[in-house]
Amino acid sequence: MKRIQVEAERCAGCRLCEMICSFRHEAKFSPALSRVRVIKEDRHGLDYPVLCHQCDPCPAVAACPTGALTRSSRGVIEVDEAACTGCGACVDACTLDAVHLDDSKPLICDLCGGEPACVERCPTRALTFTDSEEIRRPEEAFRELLGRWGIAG
Amino acid sequence: MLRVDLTRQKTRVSDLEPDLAAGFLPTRHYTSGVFEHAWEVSGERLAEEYNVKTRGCFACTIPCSRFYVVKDGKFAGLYGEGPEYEALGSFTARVGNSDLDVALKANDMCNRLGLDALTTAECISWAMELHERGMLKRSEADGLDLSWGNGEAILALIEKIARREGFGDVLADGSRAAAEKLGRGVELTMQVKGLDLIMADPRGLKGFGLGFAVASRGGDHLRSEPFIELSDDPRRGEELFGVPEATLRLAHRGKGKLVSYFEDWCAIIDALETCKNIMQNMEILTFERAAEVIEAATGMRMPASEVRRAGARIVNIERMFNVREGVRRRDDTLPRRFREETLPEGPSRGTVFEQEPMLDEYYAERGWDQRTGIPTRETLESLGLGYAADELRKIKASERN
Repeated sequence: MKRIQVEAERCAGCRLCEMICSFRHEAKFSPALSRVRVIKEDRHGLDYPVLCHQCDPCPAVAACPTGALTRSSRGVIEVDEAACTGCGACVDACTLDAVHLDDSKPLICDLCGGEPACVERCPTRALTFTDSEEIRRPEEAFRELLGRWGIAG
Repeated sequence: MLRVDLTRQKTRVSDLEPDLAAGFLPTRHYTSGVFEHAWEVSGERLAEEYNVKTRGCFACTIPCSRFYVVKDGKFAGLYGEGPEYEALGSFTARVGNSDLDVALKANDMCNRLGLDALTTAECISWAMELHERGMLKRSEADGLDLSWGNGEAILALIEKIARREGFGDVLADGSRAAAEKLGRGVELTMQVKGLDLIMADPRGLKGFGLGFAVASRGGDHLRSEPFIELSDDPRRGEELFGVPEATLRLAHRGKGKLVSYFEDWCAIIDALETCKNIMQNMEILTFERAAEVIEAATGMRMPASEVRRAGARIVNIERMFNVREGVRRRDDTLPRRFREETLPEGPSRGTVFEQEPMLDEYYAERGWDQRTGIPTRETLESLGLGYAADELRKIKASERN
């Protein structure tokens, strides 16, 4: 399945992805409403956009007590807002820290229906939408980069 | 002055080369505008051999900051952000240093110690010129050899300045204060109103020079930064100001109009809290566009002319603040070197900074008194700054006493 992949070395940490994500989904420019969140490690100038990997199985779906989170036939995690009670179990369960609550509604990447706006707008092409199963964590990516550059973390 | 090449994933500071080509790259404390080692310490070389990653400000499509790694040599493992043009040029050409690694180390030290790289380098560069002229004994500089480009001395002085140790304590308050403490060399300090000048020789960039002379913070390029001057295109001057020379970097005519225009513009860019590099230098947020942005954000409809007037109000109110604190025409002056000595070589050689005619034109354009440099009552009232005009009376009364 096609997933949004991150190339950490290219990410400039500008967070334009957060702005465009919020605008696409909520018609507002507000990082607090974004499905993607950039981790910024300022000591070493490292950046990593964190977003839902559409894992299968998904621990957040499994943890949802009301069945508000489901996986669509295309493999994308979907939120049924009417069924959601805003308990936050999905936020705790996601092992990638990719789920956030806006008041009581979970914000989870829906891949913009197959044409992710963040990928389209990323000014450094750090985000790509490709067939991949690989799950990477920011801390692994950071370690790898520091290793490649010969810097002690 | 950043060029961004996203296809190569590297942002470059590509100023040293063009500034060198135009012959206004301050070299060995402004004794030349041409640095023979410019390529070795250029942003291009930094991009090719050192840079590993770009970084940007919030939501910017032009992430202009860079991280570098020093891979080998004495400073292997040094890793940091920048340096931008001023820091890079200051710790290379300005101090006569051809070792890029030393410049990176110096910039990193300044960042960590909380020192302004430009001012720090000016203090060191000034001390080096005193040494060169035999005006500073080695014993006065804690035994350091202050020959041009001596990396060890440069790095040692940065540490001493930060800790206010020995000669570092003399330099720690900027070049003007250092000259006062030492009791000599004030005519060689490259500062205006106590703020040290940037990496552009005003003899090769006269509108910038006028901007340094009149800026409200002292020798500051960010109050006007008339980048258009670098185009050297007389058609732009004719089109914008009716004076072709206004956009020729070596000419002095029309610079009063040029600098007023760009000061008003910079004031608006600052008031809107946007990036000067993009919005002004790249001519993106014109007064017309600013009017649209202000309307979109606030609902206030302001014609472009009104936006410019708001900029002029900011400039005038800052001037009045300075006037109240004693600033007059006599303070709007560049160091003597630029007014009396020509550059010895390169494309900007043979010309001085024609300060007085430029100031005359600038004050006329601003509606300020020619003799004193104080805004007139009519000017202040026409901008809706009547309350500042009332302050004038008090200033005049106190000057009589």
